[in-house]
Amino acid sequence: MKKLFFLFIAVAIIFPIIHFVFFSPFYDRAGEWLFLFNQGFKKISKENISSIKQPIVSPSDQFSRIVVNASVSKTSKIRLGISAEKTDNLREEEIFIAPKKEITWDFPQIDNSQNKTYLLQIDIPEESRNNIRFYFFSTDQQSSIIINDEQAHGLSLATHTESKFSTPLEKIQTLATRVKIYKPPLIQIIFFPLMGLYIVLFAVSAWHGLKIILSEEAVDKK
Amino acid sequence: MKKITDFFLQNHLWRNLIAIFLLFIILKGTIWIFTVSIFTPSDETTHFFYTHYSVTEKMIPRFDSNVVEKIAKNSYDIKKVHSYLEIENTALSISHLNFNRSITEKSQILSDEKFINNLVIHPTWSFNYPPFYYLIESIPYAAGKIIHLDIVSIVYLMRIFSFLFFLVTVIFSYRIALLIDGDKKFAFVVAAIIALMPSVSMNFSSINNDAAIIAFGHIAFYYLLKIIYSARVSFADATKGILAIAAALLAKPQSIILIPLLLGVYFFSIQKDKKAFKRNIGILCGGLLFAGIFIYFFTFSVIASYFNSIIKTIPQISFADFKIAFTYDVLRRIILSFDFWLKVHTFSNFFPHFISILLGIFNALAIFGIMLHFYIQIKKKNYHKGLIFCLASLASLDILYTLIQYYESIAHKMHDSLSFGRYYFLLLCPIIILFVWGIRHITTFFKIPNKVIYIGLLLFFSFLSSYSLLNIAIQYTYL
Repeated sequence: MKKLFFLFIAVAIIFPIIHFVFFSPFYDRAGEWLFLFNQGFKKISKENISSIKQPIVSPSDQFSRIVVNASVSKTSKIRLGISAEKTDNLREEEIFIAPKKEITWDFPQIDNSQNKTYLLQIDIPEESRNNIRFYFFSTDQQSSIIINDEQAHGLSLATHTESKFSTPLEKIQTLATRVKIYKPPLIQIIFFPLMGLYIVLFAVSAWHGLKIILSEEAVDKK
Repeated sequence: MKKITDFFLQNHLWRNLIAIFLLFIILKGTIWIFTVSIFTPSDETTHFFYTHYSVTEKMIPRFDSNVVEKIAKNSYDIKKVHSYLEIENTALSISHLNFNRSITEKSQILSDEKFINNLVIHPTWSFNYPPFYYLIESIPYAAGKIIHLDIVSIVYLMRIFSFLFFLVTVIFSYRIALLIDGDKKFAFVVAAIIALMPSVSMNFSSINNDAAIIAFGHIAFYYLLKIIYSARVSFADATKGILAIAAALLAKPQSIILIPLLLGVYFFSIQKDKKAFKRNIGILCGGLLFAGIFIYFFTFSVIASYFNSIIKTIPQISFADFKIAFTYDVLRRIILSFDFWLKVHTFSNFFPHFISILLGIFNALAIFGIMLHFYIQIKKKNYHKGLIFCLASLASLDILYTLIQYYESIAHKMHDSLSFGRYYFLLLCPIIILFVWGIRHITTFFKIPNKVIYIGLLLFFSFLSSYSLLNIAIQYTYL
């Protein structure tokens, strides 16, 4: 009974907390594509694409990930790069992408990136071109996407940016600050005590639930 | 003496468990309500504006040319709502709140006209729904106004009222499962799974008339089931069942599937008790008349226009259209089998893959288990009426949705109109009963004790509940 109880605590409380604090350090997902209304007009590239250049804006500091929506039919090689105005490539990497619905590129964080515009460049080697189809959506924003060295009007590449916390502590501090920004005063005060109480009540419920399910008295007629 | 002591000890344990578990789900629901940003859940804006209109105009809203003007009249609240939506970029967005911008740009405001006619937010689209849920929600809205709460706090207060329907759903789910199986452990596991499902937690954390239809649907289901299980049809049960159906009809049109179920139960009860027909014909006719009046005034126009459109579409259907609709219907069912459990607003794709794999295994086991159970029943000619009623209810709802899906797919080329798991929550408890029953039945062939299955399911759904709260709701709301 005790072992089962601790298994419940480990699986349903400790693991999700550890995962939250240590294993999901990315924050501030941003990009026009994330607005669901844009996703209704998804367009898939039909022709072979050799290169895409698309400006992107990071809303936060420590910009460190780009996710591009694409259909990848088999493992392929591509080259990704980010450059800022009047600079050489800030980050550049050749990566192998597995068959998936998206291309995730993690790179060493760029500091002081808040609200800065960068140019994302994707180069697709000839041997990979048949394996990758990119998603685009119609946009009202003034489009400056360049596909195969030609300007494409009214289109935008389906992509979003993410930033990374330097430490788990920074993540907790950001969470605490943001609870205060957006919630009415009562919620600001009771949010974290409620989270603590959640753990206590879960433990007590699990203990009682296990006690009853393991008891021989209740009906087991099937 | 020992037996009496054990009986009281057992009951004492159960009372403790039920009390603590109810406290836990109230707390969990409160955290979900406070966590999810206002107006981010599906259609919360339109349901909010229905209530807002009902209270400020003291009438049930209907589409007409004056509606925009009337909403815009109360412009202080409107401005606050749409500045929240615009600045924070929350409506229908799966991105985080725009924290960097919102700190500096709080004063930027759209025009009322632009806001109300916005195609994404579309605050008036629910205005043809029946009014019952919104009348209930007008209580916290009006109370909030009287004590001078601002509109953001009022939205949270309205969500808490929505959550009360969740408690009703869980309590009646426990009673339904107990009636069908007779085992408290089974009933507890069914109620606990419902309380722990991320998609259910999300659904009841927002202002949405789904909350009312689910709760009233479960009350109606319980009393109909009680009639099936009783030797004689009780006047009180029949009346409660019919009143719950009427309340559900007044909450959302798809509760119309409860009417064939009511008729089915009525004719079933006549089979076992011939006098029941004479005794209860008055209740049935009264109930049907009652339901008919509600349908006519509040849902008839929606259903009639739909039916008309379907009739007009039939001659235009080609085989190619049908093939496309069929393919999308199959895809819809595959999506539903995961979406039903996991859909947390727009965040369902953020669960780790192993969760989908485990759910796939559970779904397959449950379906095989139920098929095997019915195969054995047919061979033995010994039918379980509770399970048959669950299956018949699910079949009624699914037939309705399949017709709508094919119609939307063929007539409007809208192929994913019914791929939301929450549309099946009207029969949440019967589906979970079939799920747990199926898994339990198939695992008995491998000599796995029931308690191992119960503990395994509770462990999985407890994990799912905490994981979705911390790593999805909180992660993607604040970070």
